[in-house]
Amino acid sequence: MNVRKLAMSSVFAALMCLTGMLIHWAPALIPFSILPVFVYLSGLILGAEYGAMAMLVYLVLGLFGLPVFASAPFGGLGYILKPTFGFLLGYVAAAYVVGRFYREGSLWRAITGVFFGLIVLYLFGLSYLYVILHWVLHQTTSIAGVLAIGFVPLLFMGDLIKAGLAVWVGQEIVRRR
Amino acid sequence: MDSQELYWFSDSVLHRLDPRLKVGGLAILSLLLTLTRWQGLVLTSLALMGLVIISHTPLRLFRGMTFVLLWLGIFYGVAAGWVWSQSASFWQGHWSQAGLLQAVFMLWRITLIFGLTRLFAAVTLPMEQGLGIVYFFAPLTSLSTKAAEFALLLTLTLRFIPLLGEEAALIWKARMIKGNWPTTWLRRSWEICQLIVPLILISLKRAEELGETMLARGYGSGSFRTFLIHERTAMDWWGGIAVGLWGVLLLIWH
Repeated sequence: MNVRKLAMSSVFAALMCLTGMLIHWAPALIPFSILPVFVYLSGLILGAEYGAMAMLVYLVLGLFGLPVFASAPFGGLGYILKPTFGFLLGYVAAAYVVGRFYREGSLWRAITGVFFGLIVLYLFGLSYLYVILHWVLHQTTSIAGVLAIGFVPLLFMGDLIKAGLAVWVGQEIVRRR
Repeated sequence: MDSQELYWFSDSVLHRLDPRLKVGGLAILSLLLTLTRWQGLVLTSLALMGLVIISHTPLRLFRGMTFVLLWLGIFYGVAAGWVWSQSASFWQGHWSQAGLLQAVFMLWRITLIFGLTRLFAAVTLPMEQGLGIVYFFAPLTSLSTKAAEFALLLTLTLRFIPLLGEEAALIWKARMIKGNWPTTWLRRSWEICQLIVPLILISLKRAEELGETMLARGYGSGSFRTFLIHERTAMDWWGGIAVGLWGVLLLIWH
């Protein structure tokens, strides 16, 4: 394993934790959740494996009780029972997908990578919602039903803007380093 | 007594317990709570109330969970309690008593797990929480190099959080010299975007420095070891027995 990349992965996991903490300690300071931006950035800067590893570290620390998630109770295994937990799982997959698509310096690769990362994020989020409805609550549900509950067009538009922001920040960082 | 973020300063028995016991106990009890029946939920409710009293934590610390629990209550209530036939539309459905009862039990479980987690955060310092978590990943180091490096990643992340917090505070101070923080949502968003780039660049520089230091000091892949963080006391043993007994009862009633 590359030691330099290992240290950079821990920095990205720490940035995710710090942002999660800041969202609930100083909500007036951060106007929107910038966690997805860091997810895409980890894929762009660290690559597929290390980006996914950084997100996995964030997820593990949160699930074991460290208060790093954005909403109450901010950590713990109880998050597994939240219908939106799939989006947290999707962070790992999204970072991997972004890293797989991206080639350093290529703007188009960054745009397509982040776009596919966003799709994967929603795929995980909505699939988990389906699992909760179908397997935990034993409700007969369809894909259309899951989309009606879990897919909010306005939020998706917001996520598209965040994806664009990640591309801009990622290119800036690659250029300046 | 005072509170700092999620931690509540006090000198109760729970505050003094070994963080490894608190992390392990929280993980095991949270898992068992998803399996247990109403008897286990009653026992845990009473035990949680007892722990809140012992820990001297005020009830207002738990107020932050209200909104999330309300939202989850509505979600589970509608998802499990509202039923409609396949030929009818959603609006032609009706409330099902069995479904609503299922939703109530689900919400009860979630409330207890969230309550235990909130109490854990109130009685354990963040660094202790992190070291407690890393302790449970330490046995993996003997399995494979990758697992050892994952445990190292966890430790490094915990070390970086306060460091990056300081860097963020410095960038924030530099920004404040330019003028007041804007009041409109759009301008605040733009300002945040401007601050992300220098924060990430500084963070990556720190990471590179650390990587070089590790190599210079002869770091070999998989040679990570955790260190002991707490002397075990008699109170920790009693705490362990209590958690074990609690867990066994939850398992019996599953």
